[in-house]
Amino acid sequence: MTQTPTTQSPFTTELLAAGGPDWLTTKRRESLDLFNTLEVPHEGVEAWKYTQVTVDFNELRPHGKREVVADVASLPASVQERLNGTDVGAFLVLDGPDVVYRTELPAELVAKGVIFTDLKTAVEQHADKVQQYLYSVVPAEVPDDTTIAAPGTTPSKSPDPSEGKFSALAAALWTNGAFVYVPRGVEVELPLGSFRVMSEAGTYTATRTLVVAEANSSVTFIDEQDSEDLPGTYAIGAVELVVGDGARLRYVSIQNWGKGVTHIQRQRGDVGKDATLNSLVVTMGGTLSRTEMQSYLRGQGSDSEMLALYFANDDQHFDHYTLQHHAAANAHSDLLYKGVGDDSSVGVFSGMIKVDLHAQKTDAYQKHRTLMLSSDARNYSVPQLEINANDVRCSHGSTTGPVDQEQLFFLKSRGIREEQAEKMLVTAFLEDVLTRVPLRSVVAYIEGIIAKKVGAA
Amino acid sequence: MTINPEVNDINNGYEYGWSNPERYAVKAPKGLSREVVEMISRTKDEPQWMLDFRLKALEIFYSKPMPTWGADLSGLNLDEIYYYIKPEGMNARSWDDVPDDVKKTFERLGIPEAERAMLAGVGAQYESEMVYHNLKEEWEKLGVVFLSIEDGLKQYPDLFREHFATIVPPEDNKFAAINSAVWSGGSFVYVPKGVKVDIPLQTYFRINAESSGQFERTLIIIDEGAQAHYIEGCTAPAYNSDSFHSGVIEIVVKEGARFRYSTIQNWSHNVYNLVTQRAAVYGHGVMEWVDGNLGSKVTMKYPACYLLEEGARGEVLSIAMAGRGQHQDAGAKIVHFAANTSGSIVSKSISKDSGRSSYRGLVKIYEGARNAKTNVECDALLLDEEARTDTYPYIEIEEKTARVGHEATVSKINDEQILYLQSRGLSKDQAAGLIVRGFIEPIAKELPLEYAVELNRLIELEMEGSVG
Repeated sequence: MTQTPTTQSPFTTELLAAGGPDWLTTKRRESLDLFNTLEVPHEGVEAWKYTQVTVDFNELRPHGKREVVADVASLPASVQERLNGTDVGAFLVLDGPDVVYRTELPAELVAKGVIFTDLKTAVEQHADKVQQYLYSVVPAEVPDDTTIAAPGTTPSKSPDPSEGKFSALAAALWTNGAFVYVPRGVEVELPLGSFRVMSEAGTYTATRTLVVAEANSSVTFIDEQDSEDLPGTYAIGAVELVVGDGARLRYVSIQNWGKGVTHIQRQRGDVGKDATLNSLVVTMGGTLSRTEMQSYLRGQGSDSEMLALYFANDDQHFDHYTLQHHAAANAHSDLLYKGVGDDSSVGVFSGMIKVDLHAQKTDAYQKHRTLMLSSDARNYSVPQLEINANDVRCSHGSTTGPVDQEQLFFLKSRGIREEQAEKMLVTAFLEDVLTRVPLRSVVAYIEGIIAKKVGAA
Repeated sequence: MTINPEVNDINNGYEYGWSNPERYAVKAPKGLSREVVEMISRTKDEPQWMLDFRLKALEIFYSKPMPTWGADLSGLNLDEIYYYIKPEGMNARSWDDVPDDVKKTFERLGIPEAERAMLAGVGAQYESEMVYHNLKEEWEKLGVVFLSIEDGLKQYPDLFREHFATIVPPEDNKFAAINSAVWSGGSFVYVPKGVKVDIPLQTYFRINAESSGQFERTLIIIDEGAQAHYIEGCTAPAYNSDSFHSGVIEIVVKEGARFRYSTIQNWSHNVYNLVTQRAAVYGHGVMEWVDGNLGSKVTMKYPACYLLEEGARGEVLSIAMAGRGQHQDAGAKIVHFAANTSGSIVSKSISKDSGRSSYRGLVKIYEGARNAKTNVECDALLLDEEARTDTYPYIEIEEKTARVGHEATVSKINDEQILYLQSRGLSKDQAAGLIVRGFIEPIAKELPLEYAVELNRLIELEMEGSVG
């Protein structure tokens, strides 16, 4: 089924341009070789059953590089507007492939050894740390999450190699992204963030984010994506989250690309003993969006909270693929994904809880809820379990339905027009997720996006 | 009858593992070929259209890859199977006319006794053919038809052809294709308008020969406003080599009719059991599947209800038990094509040792099926540290008024409950057995009493010594 690598890959030029130390160049080259051997996942691949990406890699050209700007006033208006309301402690702004603006980390955090910079700079200035962690959580290939089962039981399905198609591309061709390093025991109070924009239609951008929270540290990272409408544009991303023993990491991604953007991003956390990873995924923009959020619960007593909300309308196609992989005992995970489907949109949720042999006392929960606003919309929900330990509490639920008719009736009886009442209920349905997110300015921003989307629907 | 002691260990206490010496009227050569298909058709003296149908299905079978999305089928060697074995003595209407050792087999399984006591009709299939088929006179008088599938084709050619392979066409999947090519045996049932058959019809399937395949084909038509309940049971001897069972069950539930199909599958642990069961349900009809999977090495079976007209309802109650070396990949499908249709799936599974139970299901609501609703509940019980369970539900919604819920939970036997029961004088095994019976009770109570008792007994047998 694999294609023979073409002698001249479409991305060789970009690969050579990427530069960097030998270990990285080798890694990039291997990743591109892998990319060339893999097919784009087709509908027979379970993990991509409901989402087909049609892309001609030969036609793709990289997003142009943008000049670094001196001040906020020179940034695109949407970024300026966004930055006005943020309380992040430090941030990067990327336009296409590279950073165009940045603020520096407060001196006291620098003094404590916290590093916040872009990945390209980090490769030069913090080579040992980057080399230790880069590709350790999101490698080029699809991570092998085959469950460990008792000997003699029938084998589990392993991932299809083609699931590594886009991660291989991201591994080979990433141009830049954020790098965060928090040393042992250090708590970073204000969130750190990266604002990614794109400004050139018909191109692709590959970015990579690496956040390392050493033992007993804590940090929050906000990863926002926003753009004008950009037909035929691809944003390929990888986000690696290393959560050391006892550390706490909160990761928020807000995808609000313009129409025409295809967004494909694998986000994965490797969670140590007694560590906590909280994630929130917000998907509102783009035309085709595939966001994978994976928690590998490596350490005993680790914890992962996974939240998401999305609203798909027009012809948007949103695919959320999640994994709660319990590799150790006494770990806890709790997932809540809520989505709305309107117009002729397509919503896909495919979520897996995996419990390895001996991961006793696992407590895992998964809930997916969908509101359907249109009969032209499609919703595919596949909540899955693979359980190989018996002393566990694992459950999942999925519900799909229209807006609650009784609530609608109640609001109408209070003199609210039906259309308005429906919008209120949709807003409440989505904002419910945000009650679990203790980040005031981010929540306010997301509420704004919800309001815009609901209002326009 | 011989017991096959050397394979006893893979069947941990399977009590139907004995076999008869092989005496057959016709035995096709090993493996699948056009010649085997032609031979089956010739032996059955079939009309040309059926032979054509079989040969076309064979082509479809060859053209389809083995499915890789479900259970592991790499151990199933289709070249090592005997596809057609015709026993001596066929389709008797009296047990006296059934050859002795075959009759003894069914006596040992309690079939003639059950027939006298509680059934409206009984069919018995031995290897590839029905050796016995009888319907009590009172039902015959009301126009109920209960025949072997072959007799159905001969005696009701039009009714047969109107429905045959319309619900499960050979293109449906690779195993429906193989069945369509080599099908033999199974039942043909017709219940006329308004007739309510209030005691069950039953067919019992027995594989005896080593490395044999059984490919029964059942077609059941429940006419408007009629009612019936059909029960299927299956066992096989325990052999070291694998056997293969691949049935196709097609059911038509017409307007306002009600039908229940119950299976207690207890194949020996060397049988690959890959079955396609589907019902087409018309206006306000009700279809119920009660599906118990206890035996076999690998089962892949997802009874389906296609709700084709307004108000149709489909229900599936599924229970699976997987012990060492077994994989029960069972589940259900409810597909809504029309408005105000409703469905319910309740699945309970129990895994022990390295046994694996998987729930795999589909709920689909097509656009225009307004106000359709289905609820799915899956509960898995794991008896020890090596047991394993999976849940793979697919929910596909194309209609805004749809309401679909799915819930699944996984748990182990509660230690406190065991301790409590032990403090009341039960042994640990008894306590665990009681808890497991409580767990499956919602399904057991839907079976006729005798079968519920049998189900409980089988589970008790499986449970012996299973709690440490």
